Amino acid sequence: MMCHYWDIFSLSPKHLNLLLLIVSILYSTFIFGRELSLKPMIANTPVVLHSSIVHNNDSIIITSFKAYIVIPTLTDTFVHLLDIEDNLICSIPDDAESVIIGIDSMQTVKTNFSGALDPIHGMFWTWNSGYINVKIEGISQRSMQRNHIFQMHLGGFTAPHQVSIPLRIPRNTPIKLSIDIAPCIDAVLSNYQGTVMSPGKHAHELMRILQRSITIEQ
Amino acid sequence: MRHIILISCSMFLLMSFISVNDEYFPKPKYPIADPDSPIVSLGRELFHDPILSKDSTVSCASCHSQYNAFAHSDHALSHGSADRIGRRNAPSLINLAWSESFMWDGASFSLEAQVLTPLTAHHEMDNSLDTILHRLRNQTKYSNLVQKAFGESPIQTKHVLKAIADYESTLISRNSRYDSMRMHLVEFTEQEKKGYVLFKQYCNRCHAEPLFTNGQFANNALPVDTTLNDLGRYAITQDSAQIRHFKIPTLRNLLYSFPYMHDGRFKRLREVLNHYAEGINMHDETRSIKHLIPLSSHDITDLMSFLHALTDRTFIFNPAFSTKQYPQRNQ
Repeated sequence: MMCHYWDIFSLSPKHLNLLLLIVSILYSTFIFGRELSLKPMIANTPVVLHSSIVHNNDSIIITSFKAYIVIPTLTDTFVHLLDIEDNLICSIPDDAESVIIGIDSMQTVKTNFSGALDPIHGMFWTWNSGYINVKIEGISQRSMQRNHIFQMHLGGFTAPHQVSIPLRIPRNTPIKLSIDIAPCIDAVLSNYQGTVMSPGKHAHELMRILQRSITIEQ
Repeated sequence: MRHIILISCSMFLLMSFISVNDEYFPKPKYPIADPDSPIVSLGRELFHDPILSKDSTVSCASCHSQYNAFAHSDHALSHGSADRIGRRNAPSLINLAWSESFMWDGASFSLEAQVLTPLTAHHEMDNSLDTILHRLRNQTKYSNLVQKAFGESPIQTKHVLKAIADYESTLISRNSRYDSMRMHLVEFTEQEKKGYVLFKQYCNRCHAEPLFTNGQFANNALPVDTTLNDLGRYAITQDSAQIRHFKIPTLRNLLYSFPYMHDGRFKRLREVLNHYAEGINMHDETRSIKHLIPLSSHDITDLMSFLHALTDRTFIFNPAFSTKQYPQRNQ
């Protein structure tokens, strides 16, 4: 005699599907019930990929912006890689009270190299283990590099240059992290010839500048 | 029948004796995979397959060949894709499960992470993960191996890293004459005993028994090679005290793993020992070795006799490590 799984609940397949739909809506509402978005700015202007923004008598074009967002909760840790080429939005649990920008030491050493943490995304230093927490690349006339490019690959998980950014966030409300990247761009152009691409004190300093430029909007 | 029982009992007692006495070996830091597991089989295939390099000319085994104790003979510096020459001597891959950091500069924090470096480095295999996965997914052999190993497909980055790391964890050498001595199965010759005494007096602090490395980094005060100007561990930590510090290599099977040092500058073991006896660069402020080691010519010969006892031919010729399917490029 055949026994269908819906016999257990004495429900028809149609009703069971409806029930599953309701459960999934409730799950997404209460467990992943809100959005976190990143909003990179240059001073007061939102960054649009490949669009020129005037800043400090300079024309700045952002060609890449990627960042890791880690959401630790009591039961699990969620890792998202946000890329301006896709969108800068991810779902986070309602009960999350903190987010981390970047992959910290613990997450780094226990990585399984899959999903958002797959090195195929170009956010893992293969010559010097560890994840790039934030990648910002663009063009500025102030850059002395070839074709006036500037590059910031900011990361580091070992002491004394652990550079992930922990942030407290309120519960039960959408979160918008506004990041003014202009001070960071000014610093890399003024102090480091437009390029910081390895862990260490330079990346550490730039991440601290970035940290001071974050505003949490609800 | 009585003979069989007697022999069986003797074997059991002998095996018990061995198992008790090999406790001189520490516990590994990384789980050692079952050499017969499907994951290790996949790793063994990948390790020997030049498909992983950009121009399909070099495999991991090209620079880490078994008959060189998984090092690279004859080349001072590693020989990569498109005939590029690297900046460092390919180290031997021995007892990696006991290690906590990898590469000469300790850049990699795990065996899996370590796999990524040679796959993508320009002067090594110079490939991208996209290309590697695309190639592997187009081969039925690998689809089958991955399905068998992980119960899923297609192959992903994590499978490649895990499989090669697990294979490397099985590269265990602990069957040398030294090991037999530690298990009281043989007795050293007088010359080996003299060499062992010297070793414990002068070398054991860094090349600590029984792994013959303490896993740390040190500057052994080699004259600086200005053509490479390799700053070693400093490039990773940016700690000026670690300028020209390199991972202390194991001495096991060093008869097979020549040339020596991070830049492969010494072809012969006696040259290495002469360096410590009379060649130390006393002007190097970050050197870890402060004084010349007072070794006479006779002492060096005795030390070499002891170091020869670290050779493990069952490791060098273990068929389980090899696939024998892929022709190795001429060295």
